[in-house]
Amino acid sequence: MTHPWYKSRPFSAWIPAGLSATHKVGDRKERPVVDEAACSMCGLCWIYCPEGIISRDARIQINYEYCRGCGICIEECPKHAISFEDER
Amino acid sequence: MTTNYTIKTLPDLEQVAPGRSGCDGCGAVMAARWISKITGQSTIMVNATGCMCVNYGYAGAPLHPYIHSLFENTGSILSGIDAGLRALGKRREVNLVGLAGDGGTVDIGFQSLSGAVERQHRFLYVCYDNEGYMNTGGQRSGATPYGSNTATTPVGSEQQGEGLSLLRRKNMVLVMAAHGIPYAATASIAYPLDFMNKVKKAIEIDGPTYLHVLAPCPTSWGFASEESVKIGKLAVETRFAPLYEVEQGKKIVLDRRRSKGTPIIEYLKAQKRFSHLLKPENQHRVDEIQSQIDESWRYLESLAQE
Ligand SMILES: Cc1ncc(C[n+]2csc(CCOP(=O)(O)OP(=O)(O)O)c2C)c(N)n1
Ligand code: SF4
Ligand code: SF4
Ligand code: SF4
Repeated sequence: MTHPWYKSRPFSAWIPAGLSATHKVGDRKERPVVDEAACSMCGLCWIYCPEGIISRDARIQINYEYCRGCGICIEECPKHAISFEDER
Repeated sequence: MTTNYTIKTLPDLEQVAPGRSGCDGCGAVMAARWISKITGQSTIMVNATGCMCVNYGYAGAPLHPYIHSLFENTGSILSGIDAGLRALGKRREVNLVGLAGDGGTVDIGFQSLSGAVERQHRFLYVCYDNEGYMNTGGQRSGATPYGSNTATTPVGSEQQGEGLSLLRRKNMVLVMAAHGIPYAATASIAYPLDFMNKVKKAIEIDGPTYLHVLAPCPTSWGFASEESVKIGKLAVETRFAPLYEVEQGKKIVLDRRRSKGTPIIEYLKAQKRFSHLLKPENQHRVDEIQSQIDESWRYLESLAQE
């Protein structure tokens, strides 16, 4: 991609905002799965997820394209509503 | 008086794209995401070399303007942007934020930061403290705690990890407060609302502000990726990293409720970097750490008295 600045500043590096989204880093041994019946929509998993890939609209949804399976959402859920399932 | 955020009222919109590199369960990246959540689309972030720059900035995760600074010049770049925005008459529209690790703040970036706050530029500077130079493999920094096993303070016959007492470790918040800045505070990634409300308070101030956020690092501290928040909480509860705010360099508000004084051994035994301290012959070092923490706490309490 060519940035308009590039010609005048050929030694600068320019990275398009949001480029990271092209890196589908969701590579894990286990996937966190939400039990919607147990979830109280408290939002803690949404805020703690280091990847910022949990959404909290009508329900809690995890974007598995980017989830790394770090386990923080599971550990911090006060309702124990998230658990790991084996990836196959 | 502005009202504080609750989890319900936090903005849903992410200012950060997914797909960063770096380690699972990283505490620092939580802080980075939360800053941008509060400062919003009109943020300019200046981020020194370190894990956040290499794994997050270079990956292209921030969705707002973002500049990679050197270790030495984060404060200078912030100063230049602040002056430039003022000249353009656009200062009010932009939230200017500096972000750097402890190496880039406590050690190498210190003089430019000190100069920038002395000149009264308006910006929020956040140091994410993972207590070492973690992006290059975990060397000690001026923020590395006593007893910690790092790449440059190893455990062997001559030495049992970092040797400098916690009482002599640079206290960056008090150092920044001594510049007389309007607002300086500590935080921990274990308490996101506390942190984000401090960010909000800081960016509303027309002057330099400083936040020092403890950011547990699973890779270099040696704990499982899911434990970052737990470790961050233990650090606060044991008074290893108490939460406090300093206004106008004088008025200190100490969070006594969260720092209930859990014995430090609970914190030490949860991390590999302190595992040598659990040997019987090192019991006296654990006792030393406890007494260093008790003394630091008494000092903070004495400052916090009206
Ligand atoms: C002047 C200079 N010296 C050394 C380096 C190599 N280097 C890159 S990242 C890093 C560690 C940064 O440590 P810190 O600021 O604590 O941030 P962290 O990596 O812990 O996030 C080092 C030493 C550099 N980029 N510039
Ligand atoms: S496992 Fe980690 S990356 Fe995946 S959703 Fe939970 S907190 Fe986010
Ligand atoms: S932390 Fe648990 S209860 Fe709270 S929103 Fe997430 S899944 Fe639901
Ligand atoms: S080394 Fe530590 S601070 Fe750096 S990305 Fe990994 S967990 Fe985060």
